[in-house]
Amino acid sequence: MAEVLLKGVTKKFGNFVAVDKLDLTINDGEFTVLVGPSGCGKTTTLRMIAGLEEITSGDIYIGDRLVNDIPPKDRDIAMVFQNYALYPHMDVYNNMAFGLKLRKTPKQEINRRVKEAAELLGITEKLKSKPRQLSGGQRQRVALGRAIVREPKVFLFDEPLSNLDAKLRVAMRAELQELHQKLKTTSIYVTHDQVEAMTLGQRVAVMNKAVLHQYDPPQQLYDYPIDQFVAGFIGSPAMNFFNARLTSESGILYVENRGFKLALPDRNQRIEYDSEDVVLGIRPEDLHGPVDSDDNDVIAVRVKVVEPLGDEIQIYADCSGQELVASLNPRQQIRVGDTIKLRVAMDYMHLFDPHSGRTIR
Amino acid sequence: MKQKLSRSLFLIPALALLSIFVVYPVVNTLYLSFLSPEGKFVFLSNYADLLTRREIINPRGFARGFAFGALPHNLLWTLIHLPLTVFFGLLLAVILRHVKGGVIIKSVIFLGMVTPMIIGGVLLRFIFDGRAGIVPVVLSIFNVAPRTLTAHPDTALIALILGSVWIWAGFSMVLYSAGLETIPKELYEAAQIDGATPRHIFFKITIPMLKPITTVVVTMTLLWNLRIFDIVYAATMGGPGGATNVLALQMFFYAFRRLEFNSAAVVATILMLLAMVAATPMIRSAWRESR
Repeated sequence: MAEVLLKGVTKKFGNFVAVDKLDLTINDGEFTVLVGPSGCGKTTTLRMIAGLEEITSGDIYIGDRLVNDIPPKDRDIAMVFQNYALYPHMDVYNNMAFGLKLRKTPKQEINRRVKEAAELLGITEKLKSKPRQLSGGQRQRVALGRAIVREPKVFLFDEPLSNLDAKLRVAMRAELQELHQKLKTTSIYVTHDQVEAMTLGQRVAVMNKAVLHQYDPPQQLYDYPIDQFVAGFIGSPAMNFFNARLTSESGILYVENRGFKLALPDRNQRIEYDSEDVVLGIRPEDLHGPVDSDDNDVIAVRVKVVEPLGDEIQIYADCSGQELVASLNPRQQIRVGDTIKLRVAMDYMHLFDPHSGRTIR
Repeated sequence: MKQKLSRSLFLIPALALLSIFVVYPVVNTLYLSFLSPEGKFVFLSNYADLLTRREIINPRGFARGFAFGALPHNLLWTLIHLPLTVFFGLLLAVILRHVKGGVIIKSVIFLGMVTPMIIGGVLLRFIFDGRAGIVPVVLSIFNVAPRTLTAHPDTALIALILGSVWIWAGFSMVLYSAGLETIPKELYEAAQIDGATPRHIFFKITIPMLKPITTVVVTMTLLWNLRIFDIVYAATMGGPGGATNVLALQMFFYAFRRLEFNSAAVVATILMLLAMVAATPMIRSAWRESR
């Protein structure tokens, strides 16, 4: 086990910057998730840690060792690929044993480790099968097993669940978590799925356009996003954003636009901000109602679409020309075309600088 | 029941064509090979007679040097040509994969394949010619006196076989090139992380992954070696002194020079049986895939 340290790591493909001056510390035994939309540089980062991609500049350390010029096989890492990358001509046993054989591990030791890993993953009966005889979930387990038997310092996962169907993905997610609790190996996991990121990561690094935006535990990301990108990326359905202005009336700060005028909560009454244009961010789950009130934390919306999900209903509504999504209590009647009033949990709202996107605190 | 009947109706055109152009000639050839020139049914005695003929198998040739007879020549051809073709095809495919302009080089090599074999034969004759050919010139660097290699019994067959490697290597190279493209990049990366050296990757990943291609290359090359005709026809006409004679050419001689159609039918049947044996692995693997 080891700490992984990235210092100013940059990767350029010609003139295209894939990863820009990335600093990242993954603690010993930590499960870190790199998440972001496609093309954000997360996979490139993982491949640089693996040694499959050369670094343009910067340093990568695994443990105390600078690994910039060390080939993948000597970095003491194991990687699980998106499409499993099992060797089709070898049976499950040999797929898992391949790396150990190449490292001249004694035969008994190989046997023991493969058997143990197979048991842990529940694929003992499949040891003699070829990959093509296995289901997607089983293949993924073999790919995991191949990583486990190596007993590496670091596990690297490149979107390992994205080829599985939804139900299996959820099950495998839980298994991965359980596995990490057992093995406690430093793990770096790449995904574009924010639910996966939130559920698996002890810390989550949110990347966009080659840059790291925020690197924090999941709840921190959700509650205190550092900027508008992270706020919009984490959470499903995504946060609602409204262009608005800050106004002051008899000593109280309001955020208002054509459709609403909302009093800022106490904690935001003294903010350091020198413009009046802001972006107001409200999560769909922080809207409640409908209510019959004209308090200064209520907005009026016209319902356009109603999606009952059983445990909640999602409504898509129009708020004076701006789109809004709200997750509401399902035990009520809301009809398309209704104009309803929703209470905003202003304690959980977010304000962003419309130019830089930074959160205003 | 009715549906089954109408379904089989659609098979009739294809079956008819197959019967007329494949089944009938095969059966008829087989039948012909059992008849004496006078039309009497003699069963296998044609075969017994033919296999002792000097132009088919020449036991004295083994002690004295060429010619050995057409059947051993075909076998020798296969023994030398097959491994060399597989080896060079794979080698070229792997080497040219990452070379700049590799596509152009591959196209040039593949030209040997698209050239009609009869022209290939003429070309070989030039290449090995004592006065005009490139091979004697190159050999003369190593103090080998220049002579027309295809005109001497001791070198003629070897010259043609090596020349045919040049003609045919493009085929296996193109197949292997295509095969290499189908191996997912992740397999190499996974192996790299697993600790494999380039040598390991080649022998433990690349070669096994190319096995289906190798089956096709080996089978097609074997069949080509059995059928070899036009190159020899154009380059040496089986000479000198039968030193480059092969089964297909001998069949041609029997049928259209000596007008011994029964003997020609015997050679044809032997060739067919050998071809069936050669094609078995490919048919078997195709069968496995379709199931």
